[in-house]
Parts: sequence; structure tokens; C-alpha cells
Amino acid sequence: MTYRPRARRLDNKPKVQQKPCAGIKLRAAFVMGLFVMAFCGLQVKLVTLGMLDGYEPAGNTIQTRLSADMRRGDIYDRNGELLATTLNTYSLYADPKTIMDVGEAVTKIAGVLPDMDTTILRDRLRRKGRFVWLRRNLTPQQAWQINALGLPGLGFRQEMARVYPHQSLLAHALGSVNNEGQGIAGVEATEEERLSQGQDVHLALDVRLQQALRDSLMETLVKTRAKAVWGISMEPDTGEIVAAVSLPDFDPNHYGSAHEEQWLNRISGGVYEMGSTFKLFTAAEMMDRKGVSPDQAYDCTSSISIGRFRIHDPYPKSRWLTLTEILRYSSNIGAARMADTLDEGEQKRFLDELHLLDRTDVGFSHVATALTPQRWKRIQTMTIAFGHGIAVSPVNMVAAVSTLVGDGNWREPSLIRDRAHAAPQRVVKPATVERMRNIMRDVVENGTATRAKVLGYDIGGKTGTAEKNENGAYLKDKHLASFVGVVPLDKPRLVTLIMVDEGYDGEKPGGGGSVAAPAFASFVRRAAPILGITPQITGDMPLVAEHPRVQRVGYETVSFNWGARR
Amino acid sequence: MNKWAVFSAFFALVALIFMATMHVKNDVQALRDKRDRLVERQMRLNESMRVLQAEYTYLSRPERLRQFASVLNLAPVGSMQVVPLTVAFDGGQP
Repeated sequence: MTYRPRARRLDNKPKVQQKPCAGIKLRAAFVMGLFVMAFCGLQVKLVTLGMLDGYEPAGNTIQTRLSADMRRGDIYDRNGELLATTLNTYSLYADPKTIMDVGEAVTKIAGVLPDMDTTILRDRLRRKGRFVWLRRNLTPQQAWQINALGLPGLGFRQEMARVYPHQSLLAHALGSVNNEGQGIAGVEATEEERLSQGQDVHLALDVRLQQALRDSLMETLVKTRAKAVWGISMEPDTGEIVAAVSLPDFDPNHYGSAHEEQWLNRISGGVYEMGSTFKLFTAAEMMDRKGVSPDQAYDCTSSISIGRFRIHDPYPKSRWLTLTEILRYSSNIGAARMADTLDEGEQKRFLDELHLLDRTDVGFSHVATALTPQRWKRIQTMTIAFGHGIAVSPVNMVAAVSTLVGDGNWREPSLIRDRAHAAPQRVVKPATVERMRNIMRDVVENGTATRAKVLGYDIGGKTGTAEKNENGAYLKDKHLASFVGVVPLDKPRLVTLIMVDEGYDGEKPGGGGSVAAPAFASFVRRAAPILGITPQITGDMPLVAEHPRVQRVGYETVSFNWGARR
Repeated sequence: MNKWAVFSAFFALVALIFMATMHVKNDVQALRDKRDRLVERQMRLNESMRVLQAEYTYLSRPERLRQFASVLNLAPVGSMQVVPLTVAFDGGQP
């Protein structure tokens, strides 16, 4: 390395440091500015992240979970009693590959779930896959117990199950849901849109009256050995259906395991010949539209022959009968004579005003349409007058009778409370209503419905016995018995229709008076105290109910002396 | 004024703002977590209430109560036992 002396100015003066030029300053300032801007940008971002609203980290947030947990709406009765709800359940699955001891797992799981088939359980745990369902919809207690077993290879998946705490009590009204939680019958189906959006539905049904009606019908089903029994009860001043039972029924919690016969909702899903209960409409039309009085007499001395048809009475009186007596003795001849005075089309118009021929959707999922004659001529008018040759829905029937005994206005029947209804429609005059109540009272007091009496209650009604029609022929030994009753008559609270399919009174086929009317009486005995309907106490009446348990305790009947204090 | 002092003051201010911001942010996050826990607890309680309501309805259904009444030797209310108060207390006419 060679030495090179420092460069010197020629005049030997020291070298003067030159000042940096403006360009370098500018570049330095530019770079510093970039850094400052970057730093400020970071600050702004930090402020944005920390302080401003609306920021939510993506993914699993509470709001996301809440919206995903959109539960199906609940169903309540008119008093707020829970009828249907959705609960979280736990479904048990297994990873067969990680099950170490299948025998031990089967024994322990069977100890918690004793109703589980151990053979099926063992087969599932020995499968080749990595996932197999063992049991769906466990209760929280069962899930806890299985979890506590500490068996590897078992897991739980949370699901939702539809639960009906009252089991089969409101089977046809509520219906059920499928495995995807969609309504497939009853209110679950008709109100699917509201329920699936999480809205609750309130029914007009009263659980207490529903139980009372079901108990009465179940007694009748057993006692009369009937194929089926059904009933519907309505409030005449509102049109609300407070009880509706169709037996046989099913448990909505196990819809799939019921038979087809149990699924059939006879209240709205079928139409029936109502028999002599239809005479109520004939009588009402005569009084309201033709100005006939209840004392007007008709010739019932002999049967009526029209072509190949013959109209006769099962228990003929062979004399002239007043309108009141025609209903008291349920004379087909009398009803036909009355209807024969109507103009063509007049009867159909009256039945239309009562909405008897409508397809009325009250909230049940299955609704049948009335069957009417293709040609509505003289003979059809006469037979329809006593309920043959026409088939109507029980729902429409009870709504029509409510019109005749309520205030004369037809009200749209409804199973669901918070639904828009048609406005009431005047059909008959108040004077006709009063007369109809008296006539129906007379039927119970003196006529074919004496077995509908309940001590202390002012009850009215009409019986009906229709021969069932199979393959175009009427069968004399198979009856469809019916009774439509009202209580109390002075201010009707309940109008109830009860129908019994092939019921027996002893060994012979039962009629409306022998099998259906007693079912109504049984229902009133249960329902009247629930509703607080005060009986009319007159003279000597036993204070306590005629009940076996009460007699065993030893109560005495007490006479009321209204002149002295108790 | 010494530009380094100005620069230092500026950075100190920025640092203070940064610390304050982060403090608030942490507080907000803590409150959010607390809210989420409360909401989850509320959901669990709601679910428990639903289960209890369903269970209560199942246990108090009329059919079951009737069975208990039978065991306890109770009789249903008779129609004659439903009277107006005027009749029960003052001996008035029905």
C-alpha cells in the first residue's frame, strides 16, 4: 500500500467544508414526511379500531348465534296455558372407531337408556364408519348421565324438538311437525308461516273444557262400543271454538307411530248426514221466513209417498202435530210437510245464509266440503228437511245452531284467537231465536232428549239418528247418532254437537237420544262448574253431586228453605 | 425553538393519544365480552325457563290432576255446589 498525501489547495489554505445543497435537504424532508404520514396513518387506524361503533369481529358472535337460534313459536290456549313448545335436546352419536370396549359401552348406555335395544346398539357401535346416531332428542338429564359415564367416542349434537305437554288432549287441533320441524297437520300446518317466524299463536280452545269433553266422549266410546266419537263446543256470542275432540286420537309427540284411523279429524275433515238435528233449520225457516207459529199443525197421520220414495216416522203418532210437537217427537213426516210449503230454492238459500254448505276454514288443516244433491227438487227438499240427502261439516252445523239460539247472527267459527273474522251476519229475528230456545227446551223436557237433562240447568237440544250409507244403500243396523245441545238456554254459553258412529245402547244400535244425549249431559256436568254457570235451584234439590265418592263419605241431601237463613 | 423539542413534543403527544386510545379500546372489548357472557347466561336461563314451563304444564295437566284427585279421595264439584254469593251468605233467592 502506497502513501498518498492528503490533497492540498495550491495556496496551502485549509479546505473549507461545503454546505449541503438544497436538493439533499428536500430529499431528507420528503423521507421524513413519509415516515410522519405513515405514523399518523397508523394512529388514525388505531383510533378507528378502538373508538368508533359498528365494528364487530367476523365469525361467531352473540348476534349471529341469536339469529341462528330462531325458535318455532309456541302455541297457547285462551287462558295462556302452554300447548306446544320447542326445546333444546341433545342427540347422541358415536364414533365407532374410537370405541374401545363395545360391550362395556353397550352395558353402560343401556343402564341410562333402558328402553334401547342392546342388539341394535351393539351393531351400530361395531359399524365401520366414523359417525352413527345412537339416540335422538335425549332429555337434559339423560344427556348429563351419559356424559358422566366418561365413555370415549360418544358425542352430543344439540337439536330442537317440538314438545306437546298435554299429549293427546288436543291432538287434532294442534297436529304435529315433521323431522324438519315443519307443520304437517292441525294448527301447526295452518299457521306454519307465523310459527316458523317465531310468532306465538293463541287458540280459542280452553284446556279445561277440552279435557271435560274428551273425558265424556271417552266414556261414551267405551260404554257404547262405538267406532268413533267426536264433539265440538262453541261460544255462540263469539263463534270461538272452546273444545274440539275426535276419538280415536293420537299423541302428537309420537305422530308417526299412530294409525291412519287415529289421524282422521272427524270434526272438520268429514261431512255427515245429521239426521233429525236438521229439523231445527226447517222449523226456524218456517217461523222466520213463513211466519208460521209454533202451534201451527201439520198432517202427520200417515206416511208420504213420492214416486218410489216413502217418508215415514220410526215412532208414528198418527195424528196432526204442531211445529213444536214435530220436533218433540222428531217426526219426519211433519218436517217433510213443512218443507213442502217452501218455494223452490228457498231452502237452499236459507242453508246458505247459515253457511252450512260452505267449506269453512277455522284453523284445522283438513276441511271437507258439504255434499248437496245435484238436483234440488221437491223430494230433495222434503228429505233434507229431516237431514237426509245432505251431508255437512260438524263445524258448520254447530255454528248454524249457535245462530238460531244465540242472537240470530251467524258468526264465523274460529279455532284461532288472533285471526281476522268476518263480521256477524243477521240470519233470523230475535223472536225466532226465542221460539227456537223454547222448542229445544221442550225436546229435552218432554221429547227424545230426556237423557240430556242435567239437574239444575236449563238445557235445550235436538237428537238425530241417521242410517249410515254404504255403497248407495242405507243400513238399518248402523247408525250415526248425534245430539246438539245448548246450555243455559236463557243466555247460551255453550253450543255443543256430539256424534257417535255405530254406538250401541245395550245390544241394539244407539240413536241420538240414547248414546249422544247422555254424552252431552256428562260434558255439561263437568263443564258448567268450570265456567261458573250457576244452576237454577228450585224447591228440594240435592246439594251435592250424584257421585260415588261423595256417597261413600256419607253426605246427606239437604233441602233449601229459602225463607230462613242458613 | 429547537425543532428537536418540537418533534419530541409531537411524538410524546402522539404516544399519549395512542395509549389513551388503546386503554379505551381494551375497556370496550372487556365490556363487550361481559355483555356476551350476560347474553349467553340469559339464553341459558331462558332455555331453563322454557323447560320448566313445559314440565310444569305436563305435571299440571287436567288428566294427571284427576288421577291425583282420585288417589286423594276427592270428588268433582257438583253443579248444586255452584251458587251465587247472595244465596250462600244472605239466604237470598236464587
